[in-house]
Amino acid sequence: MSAEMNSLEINANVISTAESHATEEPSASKVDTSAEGDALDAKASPSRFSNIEFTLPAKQARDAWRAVAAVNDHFCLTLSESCVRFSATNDQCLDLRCTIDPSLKPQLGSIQLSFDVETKGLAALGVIDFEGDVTFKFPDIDLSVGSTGPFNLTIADAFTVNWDYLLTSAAPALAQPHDDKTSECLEEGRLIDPRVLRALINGLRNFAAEENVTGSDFTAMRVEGGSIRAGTHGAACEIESAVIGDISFSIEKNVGRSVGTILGLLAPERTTLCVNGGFQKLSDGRLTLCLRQGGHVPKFPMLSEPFVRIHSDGFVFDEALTRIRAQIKNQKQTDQALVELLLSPNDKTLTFATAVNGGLARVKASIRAEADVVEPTSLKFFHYLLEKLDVSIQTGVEISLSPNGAMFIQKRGGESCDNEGHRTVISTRREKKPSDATLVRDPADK
Amino acid sequence: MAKNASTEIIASDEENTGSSLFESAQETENLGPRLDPNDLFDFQPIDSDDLDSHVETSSFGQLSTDLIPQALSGVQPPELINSLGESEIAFALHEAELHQIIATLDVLFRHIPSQVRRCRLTIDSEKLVWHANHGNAFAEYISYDTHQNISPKQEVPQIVAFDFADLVAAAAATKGLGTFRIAGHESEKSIEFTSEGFSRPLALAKDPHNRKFAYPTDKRVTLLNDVKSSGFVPSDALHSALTFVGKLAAGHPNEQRFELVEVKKGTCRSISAEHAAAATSILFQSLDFSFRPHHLRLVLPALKLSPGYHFTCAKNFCVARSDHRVFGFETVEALLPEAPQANADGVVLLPRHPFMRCLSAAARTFGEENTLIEIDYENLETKKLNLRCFEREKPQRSMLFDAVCAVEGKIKSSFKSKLGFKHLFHSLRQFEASNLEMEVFERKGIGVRFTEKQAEIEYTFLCAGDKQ
Repeated sequence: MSAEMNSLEINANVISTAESHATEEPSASKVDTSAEGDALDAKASPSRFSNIEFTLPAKQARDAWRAVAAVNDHFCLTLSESCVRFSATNDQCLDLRCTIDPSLKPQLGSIQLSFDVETKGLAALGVIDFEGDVTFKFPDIDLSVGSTGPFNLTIADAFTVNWDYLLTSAAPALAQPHDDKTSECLEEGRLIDPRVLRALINGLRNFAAEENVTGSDFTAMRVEGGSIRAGTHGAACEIESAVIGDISFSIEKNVGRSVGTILGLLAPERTTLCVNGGFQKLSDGRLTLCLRQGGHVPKFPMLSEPFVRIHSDGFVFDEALTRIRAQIKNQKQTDQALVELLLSPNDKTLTFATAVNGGLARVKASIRAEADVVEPTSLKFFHYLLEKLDVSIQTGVEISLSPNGAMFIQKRGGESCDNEGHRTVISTRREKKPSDATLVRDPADK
Repeated sequence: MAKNASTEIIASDEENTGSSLFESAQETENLGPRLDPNDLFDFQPIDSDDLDSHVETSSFGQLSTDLIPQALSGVQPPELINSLGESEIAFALHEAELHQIIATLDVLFRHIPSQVRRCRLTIDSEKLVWHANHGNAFAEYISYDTHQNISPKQEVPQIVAFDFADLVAAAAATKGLGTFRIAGHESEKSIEFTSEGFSRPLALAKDPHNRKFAYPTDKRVTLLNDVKSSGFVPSDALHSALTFVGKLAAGHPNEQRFELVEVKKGTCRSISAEHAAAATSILFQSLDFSFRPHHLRLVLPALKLSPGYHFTCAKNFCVARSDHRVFGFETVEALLPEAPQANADGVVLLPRHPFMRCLSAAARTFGEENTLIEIDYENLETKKLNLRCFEREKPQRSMLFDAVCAVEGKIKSSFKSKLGFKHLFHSLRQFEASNLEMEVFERKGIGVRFTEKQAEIEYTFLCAGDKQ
């Protein structure tokens, strides 16, 4: 401590009174050691700094702001002579740190300062060009913890924002930044492409439950064994991809949006992932995200022996789904709406039917069946489950119909890989007792 | 480098035919071996009186009319599986026309609860009229039956009504033609809607008192039958003008303002306690009406649907008609006070792009409603203008923009003035010039006026400030 303080005394230009600040050169940083400080040695510790400033490249500052804004509406700005760090954490166990090497360094000696700032104070970074620099300037910092004051943000010489901070700590800078959760990831992370992970998480966003309010524990999405999986009661989806063959990663649905934003900011060529002790760390060297592993994910449900396998063109099937969904969308009550799938062997069509105001709406889609002769088949699904199904129009769909559900299989070209296998299972509405009654009564059957 | 002959067409006083065009080009450029255009295209003289039959019987080069997508508008012949029964009516519409109908009726229905969105359809011998109504406003789409495709022809208009949500759902599922078949007897009528691979019913609303789903606006429209309409008013110009003045008229409920949009003598205007907005154009010269700002939510989207309208206004009602669309709304006889007319003491030229970027940043940071602007003009050698946007609740949170600006005229003193942010910001977003012209008035406090002439519209925004 004493060595650090000596260097501080050498580096810092000591001034005695607060009044003298106004007469000093505005660019020179000053430190006042006359008053007492909370966190430092009472004899040697400075009590205030003046005119502390640092400069960041505009794009890096903007990315850092976007990252912390995705996590919380407040962030922690940590300043030391070596680096500037934006960090944010929230109740959902997201911990984000963005470390930037400033082009104009803050003259703080061996002191490290931490401020609590509202993220909207930096919202002006959202309208600036990538070129140029962003300069932060703290005219006067009282080093007692809990003190507040103004700071200026000059954006690419265009305009200046005046905002306020709350000082949360003033302590000697450590040689290694304290890294509680992320330090547990001792192993070297493996390289991953954050864009692939982001696309896969987006692909499953419909399947994990939003909140555990309906009794569902399945609120997570998990990457494991070469596939990503999510599901809830009645529906599940799994995407197999060679690109994620040896990745183990899982997140809760409620942080999916925040994580998606941060995955979009990570540098694809140098992002690594390491997992340890229930925590996962994604880092590209500058931006580091630490998050807790997600909770329960259901096993992929196994349907009973399918009684028929059919194939449909992706475009035709998606169009039929869109047309039948449009009939339910504007209904007054959609929670209990049912969609019935009726397979007609004679005309090789799959009919979607649902009850609407005044009768039944029907949509037909042409299909191919693997076997020549199939029996007329009818399955009823809740609309809110069928609505989760996402079909690509570019490849065919294989549909296996079983007494207790339907499985939809598609091979798709992913964003960064040649082939992705999408499997979706949707269970039928449970009948109290078997019934042959169907919603659909085709006029030709009468 | 050889010139590209295909881009150069020799001007000639004579009418260019296909053959002469090739010959002219051949004379000026070396195009290689000469081709006889008659070997490539069949240039047969076309008798304009018999154009339809000619298209079918002769080929235009290698093109066939079968390859050209056909645009279908108006009522089409219904696609029926079973023949029509007694008292049944059938007709068809193309999906594109159905979407146009939905878009037109939606401009009125989108702001009202879904329970009261009822669409009225009138079927007569020449057309179908799709009608949306709410309070003292309506919107209509007319599908013309030029080829007598309504089957059977209706000598007496038939009127039915159904839930708009059902029509939206049916239109969303339509591929190609959608056929409407009105079946059943008087009290149990329903519409069976069919399209390729799709069918659904449209449940008809009951009309127990046989009022034919009449609305009060129907009578008001009838009263305008003998009133002369305005000339053609282009929609884009009127839309831009009403957007400019409308944001001020429909401001925050707590603001003091005249609840009025005035279109009179070629000027659209609105005024609040501190601001005045005007858009002037010769295109609006024939319009003379005023209306409450809440009708803007009908008028503005309706203007987007058609290139122009003819307006008919009288008896506190205004009806706008285009080929297929009609919309109407209530007008009022109130007039706005005249805006102060005075010569500016000076004009300050502000660079628009950085100025607007600062205002955008302030809107993001503080929120439009919570931001105030302070203009600080230093009439010194530097001619410097400082703009300070700050949060209403915490003035220490602020955004500073300073610019050295060009000044014309004589501004006597330095001044500091507070202006409202939201309306100024929205108005200036409509300006396009690289410099904003800010006229400064020093009498009775400080006021600023921004003016810009674009194409055929001149925009003016007046902002009164408190001198500090």
